[in-house]
Amino acid sequence: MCGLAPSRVLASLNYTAGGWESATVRITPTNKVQVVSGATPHGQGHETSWSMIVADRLGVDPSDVEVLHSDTALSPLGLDTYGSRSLAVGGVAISMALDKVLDKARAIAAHQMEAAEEDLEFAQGSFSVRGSPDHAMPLAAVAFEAFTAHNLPDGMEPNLEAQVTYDPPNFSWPFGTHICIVEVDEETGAIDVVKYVAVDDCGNQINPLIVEGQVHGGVIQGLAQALYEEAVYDDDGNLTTSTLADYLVPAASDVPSITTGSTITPSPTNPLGVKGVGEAGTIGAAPAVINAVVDALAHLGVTDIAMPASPETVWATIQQANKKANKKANKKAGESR
Amino acid sequence: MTTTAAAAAPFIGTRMLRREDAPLLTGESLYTDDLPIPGALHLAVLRSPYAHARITSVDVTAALAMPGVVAAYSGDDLTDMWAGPMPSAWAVTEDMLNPPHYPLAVGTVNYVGDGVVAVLANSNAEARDALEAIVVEYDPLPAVVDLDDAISDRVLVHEELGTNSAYTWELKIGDEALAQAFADATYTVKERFTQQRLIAMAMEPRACAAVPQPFGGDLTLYSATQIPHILKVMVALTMGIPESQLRVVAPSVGGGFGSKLDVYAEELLCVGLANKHRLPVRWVEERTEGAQATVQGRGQIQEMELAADADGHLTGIRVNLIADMGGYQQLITAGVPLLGAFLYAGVYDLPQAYSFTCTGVYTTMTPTDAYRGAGRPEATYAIERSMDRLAQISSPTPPSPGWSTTPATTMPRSTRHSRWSATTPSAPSSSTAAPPEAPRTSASGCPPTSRCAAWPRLECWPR
Amino acid sequence: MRISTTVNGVPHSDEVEPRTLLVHYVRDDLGLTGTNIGCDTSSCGACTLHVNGESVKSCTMLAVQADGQEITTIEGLADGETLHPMQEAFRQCHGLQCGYCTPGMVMASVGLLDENPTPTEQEVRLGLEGNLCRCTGYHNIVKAVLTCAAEQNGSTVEINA
Repeated sequence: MCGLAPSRVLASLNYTAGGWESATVRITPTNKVQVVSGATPHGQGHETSWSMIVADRLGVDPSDVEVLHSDTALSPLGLDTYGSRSLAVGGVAISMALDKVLDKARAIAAHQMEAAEEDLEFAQGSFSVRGSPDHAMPLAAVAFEAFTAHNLPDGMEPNLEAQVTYDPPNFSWPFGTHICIVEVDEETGAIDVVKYVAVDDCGNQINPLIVEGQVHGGVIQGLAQALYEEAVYDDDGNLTTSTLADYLVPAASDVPSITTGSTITPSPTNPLGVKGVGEAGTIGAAPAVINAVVDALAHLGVTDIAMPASPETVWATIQQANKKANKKANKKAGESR
Repeated sequence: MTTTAAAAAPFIGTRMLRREDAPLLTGESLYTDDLPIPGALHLAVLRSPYAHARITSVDVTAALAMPGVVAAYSGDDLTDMWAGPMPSAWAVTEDMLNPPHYPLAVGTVNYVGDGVVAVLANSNAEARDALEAIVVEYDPLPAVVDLDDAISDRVLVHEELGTNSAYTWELKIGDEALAQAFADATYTVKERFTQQRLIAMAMEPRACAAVPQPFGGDLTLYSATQIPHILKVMVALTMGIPESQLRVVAPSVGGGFGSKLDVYAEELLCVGLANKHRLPVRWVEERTEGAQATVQGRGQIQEMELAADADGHLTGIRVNLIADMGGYQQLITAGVPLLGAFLYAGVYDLPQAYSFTCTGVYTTMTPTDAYRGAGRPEATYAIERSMDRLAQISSPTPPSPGWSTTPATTMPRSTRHSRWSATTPSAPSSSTAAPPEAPRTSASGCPPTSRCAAWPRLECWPR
Repeated sequence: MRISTTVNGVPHSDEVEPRTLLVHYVRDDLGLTGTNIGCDTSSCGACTLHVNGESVKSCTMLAVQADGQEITTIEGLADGETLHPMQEAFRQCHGLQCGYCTPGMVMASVGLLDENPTPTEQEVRLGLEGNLCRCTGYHNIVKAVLTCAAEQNGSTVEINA
């Protein structure tokens, strides 16, 4: 349940803000594109992803796309980045703004080409009359015409700019299957994660490299929750794990490489068919790891283990299970005498 | 008339390298603490060493005499600075109890790390040196660090509330069917899971800087934040500053994972003190400080009950959560556990027999808030672990040791569960798992129909 | 105390307090903010730079100890607009997300390959034990280092995934 969130659902939950996202697309006189997004990246590569969406739609190069964000003077409208929402809500807003801009561009092209709007095709950055490919007007020319405003349809405002605030009709529902194989040393309680496979479906993928990176990071955080991390407070309320020396954020040597794969089930709730993926890894990893640990120790009668499953916790759990088994065996032996 | 995307998209779907990388790789990018702000004063915050105590006196005299120190303020000194308490944007119930919470503690401290005194100096080192010279007298009170203890109200964190329970929130579907499901169940699972507190530990420590214009009252707040837009509205409301005079900028931000999805005391202190002194005021946390003074994640006890029929199909689920709020509400503290409320059945078929209850309790620990997944990893953990248990108790095949011998019986249980949700349960002793069904969508585009019939559609959500 | 250093090939002479950490000297006195501070227990490695060609956590060294030494920070790695092969490998492999650990990670990785030009995946993971990352899960960082090593040796990358 990602892509926070339909505003009226948030209302029903008494949340004080909405869940929409805003985008402005502006085509400049020289056919460069400014995208203003209300999303606030902090490592997720939004500038790259938004430039890819724009480039494909408008037939420009991604390097011609400028992305403005994270500054309320440049991007006044937005609800920022969290809850796997930036593409599923923010990216869709951009897509809708692109639609609007192209609608206006089409009207200008039709007017200047003296053709009907419905007779125009837009491909590879150019409007052309269906069946007469030579009768064409590139978007670059339309952008310049919109700027000079010398010959626009009656009543049309100059410039090529559109702003959309998109309130999603639903959450997005990415899903997946994660599989973890562990080996547990019964004597020391140490756990070795031998293999981790994550197959996630986040709908259509804009940039698979970025998607994989998000899954990697999320899985390792979930794995770390299962095996290493805990904010420990003593009885007096002192945080005893307040430094990176004792709060165990894993290092590269503490975690495995991950095999990732994906299926693609486009989201039916937005025109890009995208879902969220930022949190997917974290959601799947902890249960996969702990289920594997419990599975490894099931023959000892272990049915649950606390997180983080540190060597001490694992060892103690094994001892307890052994004790229980011995007690049971002794009882049985006692009964048979 | 809209234009459809080009049939062959040259960029979407490709592994295009990131344009963000070069400045990050060369050290050119500016994170908040990198920003050159000439003439800025540095803020340092003296924090409570007690989890729960009354503040009986604050003496900053010695600190004020130290080199480079410009000013020092206690919570009492700054009560006029705020138009309202620190924002809490999610009162999940009409009757949620929310104690007043100010950027510096007034009267009592409620977690180790709760800010007590703000010091301004000409450098970060001088400000931090000055903290050691401040004398605060405390009257310690008992700490509350255990959730079962917190909900018992043995010791009240906020006396004026009369209880530690901030709220109880329920989502109940099919009460009678649920009771019947447990009465008739062939198998039941009852588990208690602890979602331990986690610390986001984004590699960039939190930092902020408030830069006022010399004349006119405009101010720019730079902050290592995930939420410049929300921060702007909240700062305007909390400080009584017109939005039209406020600009908020998130420079390069070094990770957040939810811990920078908040409105923090230090941001408000920087804004208030910058306006007061007509000078920029900046702050950066030390890692140890941040572990205490930056919101933590999770913190729940989950009581999970499943009812299943003879074929192992789920017939009912009951969830009861005790959720750790910490010493105060931060921005969306109360709501985070509820984001999981809709996911405790996971991917499994469940008829309309579900009950979810969550009680948020105050403790004398760092406030909790969103952390990657926010409520949903907790829910997924509970259902997946419980289904694992259900498979174990209902499967006729005993679990076998070792993973290399019989993969089908020893693969992690969660993969076997896909058989339980298929329309025809496969024999558990078959040596290969049935291939997962292709995802189905109904005509309206909702999740697979069998689950959709059970699950409230968007239109049914309570208003 | 007055110290003389050469930083990224540029000589500097500065008055510093004896207690000043090298990382603070580099960031605050020299304005080279590429080197980052991520912790207060020398655990995270975000402050890694090179002293006389060896990778060092600059929070564990006093500025006065750097007197007379040659320091290379992340800003000194690229050649004009041409990224260092390690920086390029990180870029190609998506070995960074928020970028905060990256300068330290890159400097440590360069040091790692200097000491061990043909590391295995395990040796890379162990070699980068002192550099924490919260975003990438390390998978692509390891891939980047192995890729850089392979390129420098004319071999291929094998990652156990």
